[in-house]
Amino acid sequence: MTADASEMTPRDRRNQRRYALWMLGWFICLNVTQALFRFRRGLVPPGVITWLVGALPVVVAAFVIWSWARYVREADELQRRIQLNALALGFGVTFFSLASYGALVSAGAPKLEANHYMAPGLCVYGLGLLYGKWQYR
Amino acid sequence: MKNRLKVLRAERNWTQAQLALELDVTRQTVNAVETGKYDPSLPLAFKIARVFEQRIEDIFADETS
Repeated sequence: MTADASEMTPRDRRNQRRYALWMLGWFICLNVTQALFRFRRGLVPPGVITWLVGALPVVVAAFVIWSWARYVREADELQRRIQLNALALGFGVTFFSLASYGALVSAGAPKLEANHYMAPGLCVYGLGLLYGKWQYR
Repeated sequence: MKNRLKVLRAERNWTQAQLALELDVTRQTVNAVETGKYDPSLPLAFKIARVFEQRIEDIFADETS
């Protein structure tokens, strides 16, 4: 979610701050959880607690998604159109990359990790935003 | 769709940013409506009409009419 600060309403700025805080929280939570499992495994009791700690970033991610959805929902109609167009392009590229790359793997292409599939989608989302800004400049 | 937004705004000596604040939209939206790159929704068109104390049809006109 990126937008030029001069092109935002006070409500957009408020929503973007909320989103940024949740995103920061998710980033910290993810890294702390991963560090805990990697270097201090003994601190996490086995069993249900392990799963709860592992699921913590997912819980925080739900708030990131909620705050992003709120930003898009409450953005003015042109900004919403630009965001939705960019999201549709990004989602489409991610989905079809995931769905189609299997055929290339069968043909001999290297297997990728899950997060590698996100990169083209994120790039296209960013390009979609830039295109929207340019289109309605 | 043609519109008289720029003229009405100029008559009041408002900047795009001031009008955007009145309408609770971004300046980019005001600019896109003014230049005809974006047709506003009915609620936004009503809001624009209210701000300028005019009827919608006095501000917006179908390109073919």
